[in-house]
Amino acid sequence: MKNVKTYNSGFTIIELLFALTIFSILFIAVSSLLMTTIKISETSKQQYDALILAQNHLEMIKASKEVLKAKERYQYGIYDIEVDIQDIPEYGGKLYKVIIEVSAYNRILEKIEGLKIVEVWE
Amino acid sequence: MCKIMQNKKGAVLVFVLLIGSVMIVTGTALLSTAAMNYKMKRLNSQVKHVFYTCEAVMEEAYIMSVEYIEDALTYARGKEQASFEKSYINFLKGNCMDLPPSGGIVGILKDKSRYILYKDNCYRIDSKLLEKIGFYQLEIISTYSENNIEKQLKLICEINTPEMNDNFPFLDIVAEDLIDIVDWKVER
Repeated sequence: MKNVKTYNSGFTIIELLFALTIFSILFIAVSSLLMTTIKISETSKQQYDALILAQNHLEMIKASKEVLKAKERYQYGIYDIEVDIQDIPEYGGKLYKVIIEVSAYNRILEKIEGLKIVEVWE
Repeated sequence: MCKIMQNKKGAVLVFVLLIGSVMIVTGTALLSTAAMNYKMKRLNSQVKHVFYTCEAVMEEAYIMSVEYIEDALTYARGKEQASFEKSYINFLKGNCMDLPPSGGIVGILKDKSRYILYKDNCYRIDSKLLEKIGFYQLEIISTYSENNIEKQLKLICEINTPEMNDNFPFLDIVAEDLIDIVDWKVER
């Protein structure tokens, strides 16, 4: 019985160290996996927010009665919204080109283009 | 059997491997969900992009129609009052004897070279002019595709002729008074 005990002594600590090493390797791998997941989720959220912001601005301009040919910048949280309304001279003030660009941290996330019909006859 | 059960050698390692595999499976599942979510958001963004471009093409076509009706009015005003309506309709249909054949409003709308803003090959425009009782129905179908995403919009509008009891040459009437949007819908 004593011989068996001697044979087993120190086994747990070696096993524990070995297990800890494997666990650390796995933990590092899984953490990097989780970090990538968090990064993707954040990018995904920013992409969606940017789309919603761009869409809201475009719909607001489309629904408005009047438009002004201008280039304006807005700040909404981390997002920079650039609204560019261009006149199309060929259509005699009836049609405007609207370009909405949403960026965050100097990175363009969304760019939507649309047209705005101005009801000059009303 | 009892001895085997009591032998706990390697139990910690087995436990660690078990926990590790659970972590890896969970991590991979989360990553794939996040990646799929991102792909869906990108796709949603592309769908919206295609929709707005398709709508913009349609809006340009609509403004071209308004301008063509204005041209038809100008042309018909240069004629006698008795032939005003006929000249106006002939201009819309492109059947004027004193003008080179143009295909009328339908031909103008189908001609991509006339579009100022959208000249690429990603879109198709189709239009029809149907004769109804008391008015003409103009149908414009705009189809835009990009990255295998296709959107189709249909615009139906009524084109009326000036009331003959108005004062000739109807200078107070503009094209916008004669065109009414009946329907503007997403086909697919």
